[in-house]
Amino acid sequence: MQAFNLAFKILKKNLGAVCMYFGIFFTMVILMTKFNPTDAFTTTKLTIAVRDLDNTTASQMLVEWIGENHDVAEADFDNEDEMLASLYYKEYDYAITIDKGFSEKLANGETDGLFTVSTSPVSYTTAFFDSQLSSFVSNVNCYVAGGFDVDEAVSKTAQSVTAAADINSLDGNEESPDAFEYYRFLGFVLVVIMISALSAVLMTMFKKEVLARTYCSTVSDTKYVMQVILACSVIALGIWLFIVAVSMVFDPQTVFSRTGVLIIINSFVYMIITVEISVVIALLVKNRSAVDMCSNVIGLGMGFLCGVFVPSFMMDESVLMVGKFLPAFWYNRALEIATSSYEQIYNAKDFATCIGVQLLFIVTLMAAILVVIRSKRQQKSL
Amino acid sequence: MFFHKYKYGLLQTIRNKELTFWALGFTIILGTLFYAAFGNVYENDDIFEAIPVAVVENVGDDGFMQLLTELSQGEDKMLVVNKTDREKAEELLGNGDVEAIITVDESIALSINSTSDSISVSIVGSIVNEYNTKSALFEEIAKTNPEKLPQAIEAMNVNIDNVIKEHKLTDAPMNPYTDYFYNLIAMGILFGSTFGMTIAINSQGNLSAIAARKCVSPAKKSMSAIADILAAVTIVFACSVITILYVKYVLGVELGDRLGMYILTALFGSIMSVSLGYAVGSVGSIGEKAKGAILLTVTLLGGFLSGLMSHGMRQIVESKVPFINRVNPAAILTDAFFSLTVYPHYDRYIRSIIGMAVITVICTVAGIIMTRRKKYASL
Repeated sequence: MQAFNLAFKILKKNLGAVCMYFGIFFTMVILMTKFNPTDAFTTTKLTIAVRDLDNTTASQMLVEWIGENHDVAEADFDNEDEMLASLYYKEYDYAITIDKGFSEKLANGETDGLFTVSTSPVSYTTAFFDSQLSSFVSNVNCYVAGGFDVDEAVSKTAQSVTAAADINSLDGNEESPDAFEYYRFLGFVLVVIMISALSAVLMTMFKKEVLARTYCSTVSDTKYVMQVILACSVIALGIWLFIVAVSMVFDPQTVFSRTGVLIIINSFVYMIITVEISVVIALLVKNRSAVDMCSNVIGLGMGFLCGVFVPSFMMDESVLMVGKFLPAFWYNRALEIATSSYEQIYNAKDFATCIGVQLLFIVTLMAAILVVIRSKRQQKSL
Repeated sequence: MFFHKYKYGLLQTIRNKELTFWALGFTIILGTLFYAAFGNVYENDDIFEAIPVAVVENVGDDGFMQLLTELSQGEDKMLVVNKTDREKAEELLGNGDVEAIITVDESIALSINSTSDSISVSIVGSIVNEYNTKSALFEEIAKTNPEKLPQAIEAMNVNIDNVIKEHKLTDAPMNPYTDYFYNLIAMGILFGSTFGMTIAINSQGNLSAIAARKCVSPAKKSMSAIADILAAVTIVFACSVITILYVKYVLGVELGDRLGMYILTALFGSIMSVSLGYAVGSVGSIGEKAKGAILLTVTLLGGFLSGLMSHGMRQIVESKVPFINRVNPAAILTDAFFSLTVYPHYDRYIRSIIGMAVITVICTVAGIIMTRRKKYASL
């Protein structure tokens, strides 16, 4: 098993790049699952910077009410450059100044110019807080007109506006499982890991000089090729099994369920595609730096066009049309269907269609590999 | 002689296909992919559009229906109302055609599903809540001060459109996803540092065969180095200008209207990038791979800290460790592009230019000190 062992020696030399991609993968997954908000509905909380120039009981109660319903951020209202950067980078969504005379104006039934705000152009967050603020002022105004003093009116309004509307979910409003995010990023990472691991091995093993030396040795041509195929299969399966094993620790509840079985089948089919892509690259590309270029372009290309980095429902239809010609799109769609994430509802037929399209990619890539090998042999014989 | 060296410096740099790919080809490919992924996210996800809702009216409530009609009219409408029966409403919600179902019974309730957008539902919830609290409010006034009820009802109709005065901080586009493109241009420029490193290595006789030949040639070493550096700056600058024009005119990303200043910044950035590479390339007798790894770390780790991979990272660093943003070349360049697009004045931009100038001077002086007057007893 000389050739088999040699493949692992070559892999050992390229283990750095493989480990780096695993590091990127786990970091991305942890960031997405642990620090990102879930899909399940919760009333949106904005981050609001507040400055109270009125400083009366009524204005203080309003500040308190904002703090109860949203997160309050600190801001230097005198430094407009900093405020602009904070709004641009969404450190806070809204900067509001309660202007002097707020309490007095409300007591007199006036509502014009109570607040000065700075925010992003007409966004959902602006619309949301504008509507809450208008509703607040309208209610206080009604209470004042109804005979309550302004502090009492603000206090009563703060209590009533805080009460949430009656909201129920028709489908349980479940959030996507963590395994979904984990396997979503696999659409990018598996292809770059396979290319880094396998292309380097195959390029070295099928170098002209190495082949020439092998032909002179006692190892037969067929045996050599079979050992290389076996080694590559063991490497690919090893990488895939490691990824699946980590997912079992990461989200056991989902992985050990029917959804988990579907996810694992989908990832196995996709793994075969990535192995074939690596073989094609190893056959076509001449040096190691070109392999890095290919792995980055193919990996990032599929990641951005197939809904791996940005959820597919947020992307343009025309971009997704292009994505349909890439295997990661169907891998991702099958994953969404299996986990019922991102506007997809589980449907066995749709899932089977996605797996079927991936199988077609496997057949096409296999045909491409055979054509390239055949043409290379013909070139050599010439 | 200088122009002869400059010409061959240009040819040598252009023929380094691998480096040219990373400085130009990869940047353009990544820019296109950024555009494919983020190009419409701001318009689709951030810019407010009237929220589609289905309304099922089981019990007549004229007041609420009138409120919905008011909210779904005019240019600034908040809702698109689809009055229908329960079955059809659930079908619309299931298909993602509406964000929520408003059911008008004895009380008003909202139904959503897992695909409903949280902030849209929150806005609709706030409208429903407003209506419910108003009813409770009038009941309370009717109980405590019944004589004031007509005034309270009248107060409800007071125009509250002018409650808020908007203080606009800028007229510039506020699309936060443009930050990825500032970072992308900066990354392309900083990939050019590898050209500077190659020049330094090719001028040290103990590190490369070309340098050994140069050492024994009669050409002045300083003149040769300056010609090579200028050639590298020319190529990096040309690549960055192509990237900027591609991002602005082909992809149509809003980069503001100061294109000339953008190009000037790219020139300063190119000089900084090549001088950075030259300084790293001049350090002792470290191998080319190790020097390349140092520059890749500066470019990619710097890119990460300035928001190339995660939006808003530069602002997080600014709030926690602002010193990093002052010395990170990627952050300085990105901030210069950001300032040019968003701020009407040049205060913050000048800070970035000073930062670039300081790095350039330090790196150039360090590079010269490390490579000058070197003599080799044997090569």
